[in-house]
Amino acid sequence: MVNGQLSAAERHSARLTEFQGSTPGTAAREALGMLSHLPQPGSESWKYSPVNRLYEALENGPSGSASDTDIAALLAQADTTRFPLIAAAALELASVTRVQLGNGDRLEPESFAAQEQGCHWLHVEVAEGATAQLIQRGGTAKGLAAITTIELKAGATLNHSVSGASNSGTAWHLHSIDAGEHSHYHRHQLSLGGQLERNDVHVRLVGRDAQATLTGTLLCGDKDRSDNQIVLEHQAPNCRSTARYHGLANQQGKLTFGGRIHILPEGAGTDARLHNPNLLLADTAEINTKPELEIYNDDVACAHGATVGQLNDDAVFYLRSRGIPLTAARALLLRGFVGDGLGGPDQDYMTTLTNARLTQWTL
Amino acid sequence: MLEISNLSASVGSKAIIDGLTLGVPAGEVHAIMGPNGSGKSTLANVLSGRPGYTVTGGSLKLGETDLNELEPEERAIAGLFLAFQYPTEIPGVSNMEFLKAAIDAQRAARDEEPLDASSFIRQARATAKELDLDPNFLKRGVNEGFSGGEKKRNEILQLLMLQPKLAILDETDSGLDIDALQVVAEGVNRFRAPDHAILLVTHYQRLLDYIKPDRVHVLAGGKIIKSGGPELALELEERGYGWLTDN
Ligand SMILES: Nc1ncnc2c1ncn2[C@@H]1O[C@H](COP(=O)(O)OP(=O)(O)OP(=O)(O)O)[C@@H](O)[C@H]1O
Ligand SMILES: [Mg+2]
Repeated sequence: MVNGQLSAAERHSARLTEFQGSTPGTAAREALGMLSHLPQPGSESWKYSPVNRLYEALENGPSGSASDTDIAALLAQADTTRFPLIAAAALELASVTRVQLGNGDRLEPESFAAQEQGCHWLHVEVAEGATAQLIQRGGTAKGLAAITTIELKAGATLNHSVSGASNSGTAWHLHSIDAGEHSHYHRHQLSLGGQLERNDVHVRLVGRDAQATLTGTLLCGDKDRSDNQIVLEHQAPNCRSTARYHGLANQQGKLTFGGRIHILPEGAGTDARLHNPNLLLADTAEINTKPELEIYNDDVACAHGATVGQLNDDAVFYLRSRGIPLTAARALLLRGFVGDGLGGPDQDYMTTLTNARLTQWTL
Repeated sequence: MLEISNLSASVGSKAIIDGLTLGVPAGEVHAIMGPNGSGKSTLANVLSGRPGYTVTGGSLKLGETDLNELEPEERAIAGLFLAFQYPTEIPGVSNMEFLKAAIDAQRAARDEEPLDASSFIRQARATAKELDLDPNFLKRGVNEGFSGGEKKRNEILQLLMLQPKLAILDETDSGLDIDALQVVAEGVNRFRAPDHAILLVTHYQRLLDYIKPDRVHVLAGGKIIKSGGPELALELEERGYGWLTDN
């Protein structure tokens, strides 16, 4: 076991000694090498969540039993430069699941909650031309890293629902999606926060004419922290991406949203839009939002915006003037704000969770 | 039905209504006219219980109920309805959902049977049609992106669906084209009944050609300075307010 306050070098050597008796394979050695690039506490992309607590959660889980082949596959599948934390997760892998989805398939993997702890990797491939659904429900009381990598082959469509559950502990969720030529990726996300929840979503539009549509509802109350970082990376011509994340923070919740549109030189004809409207429902809550653009091609259309507002008093009064009690009026407005953020194949479940939380907030 | 006596009220710390007395009996329509800024909307907001508007003296009663004791939603349940001069836009909450929530809340508070979903939808569609509002307006966000005239018609839609006892219409005629004015007036006339009362705030005599008032009052400087029959509106149209406010 290592402590979260260790330096990168100490972490590296501590991790090495755990391989005593057996020699780390090539991939494991590569991952070990990457540990020295782990994000430092307080670094730009970890400004609002303590990365050390995630390390601890990862390292305290059941120790890694992954084969060198699995480690190598994970390192190759996602962007380790952008997410060096993958290396730490790879060394701790507790389970690896690979699934191929054909036309009409619907996959509902076992909820993360059942897996309790450790690092879990799910790889999903949607076959060429197939339309499929993926439904993930999660939340855990302890520490967890869940990496989901998705590959959409040419012309594939995936309707993907992701929802966290209440009372989650420390969790890192990384979703890395590669969308091939003419493929469509639709994401519907609900996050309910947790002691420390960090959600990274990395959409790479790798084939021409690929499309990604993301909607999200981020609710953060109690003393929870919810840190959500979305990257839309356009690597090929004529791709479209749209992301709309609605954030609500209440009580002493601390909600963070980072949205980055990254257009590579190959991304001519890109159309990318990212919006993050937020409602701050209590003075004690906190919302941090930061839109970022990184563009290396002139032939693109981008729109990018974030707002933080409060519940509109005039709207509350308008509803009350028609006989709707104050708490119901507030609940109606909060649900209205979330609006069409709750769609997709798991809409009913997500709506139930959201309504329960919003009702709790307005009582 | 509505009894306002010697009412004084302020907005924030500014005194606006200053010793206003007015009674509207059941079955009657009273019009309030008066210069811009004289306190007409303030009076309407005070009646509806809008936060920020404080009664500093006098009383307001709806039937036997002291309105000043009640929250805005309780006033609505007691039978008060205000058609706003500037209806609020509420994106994300559909008109249909909003109307249903309002009707459900009012019925529940009065211990009445809930209105079943299909009768509600039928009634909402029929009423929208009577007001020349496309049924699609029921699906749109409350007043979201509605034109000025559409917002006013949407207020009347709510009036007809909610069937209050007292309707206060704050300049529901402004911003309406000639046809819409007629449609809205027909709606209001349909609401007229022996057990309903109407308080109409307007700047234009024209509306009163369609909705015949029993009484016309002039509000200036926070009080009623003159009352009369429908002919008073005609006189105001001709002479303005100067002859009344100058003395
Ligand atoms: N929130 C406020 N704070 C300060 N003054 C206010 C506020 N609201 C209204 N007033 C003032 O109260 C006075 C009466 O306003 P009110 O809206 O009642 O007038 P009105 O008779 O409805 O006018 P109009 O015919 O233009 O609609 C005005 O001088 C206005 O500026
Ligand atoms: Mg006014």
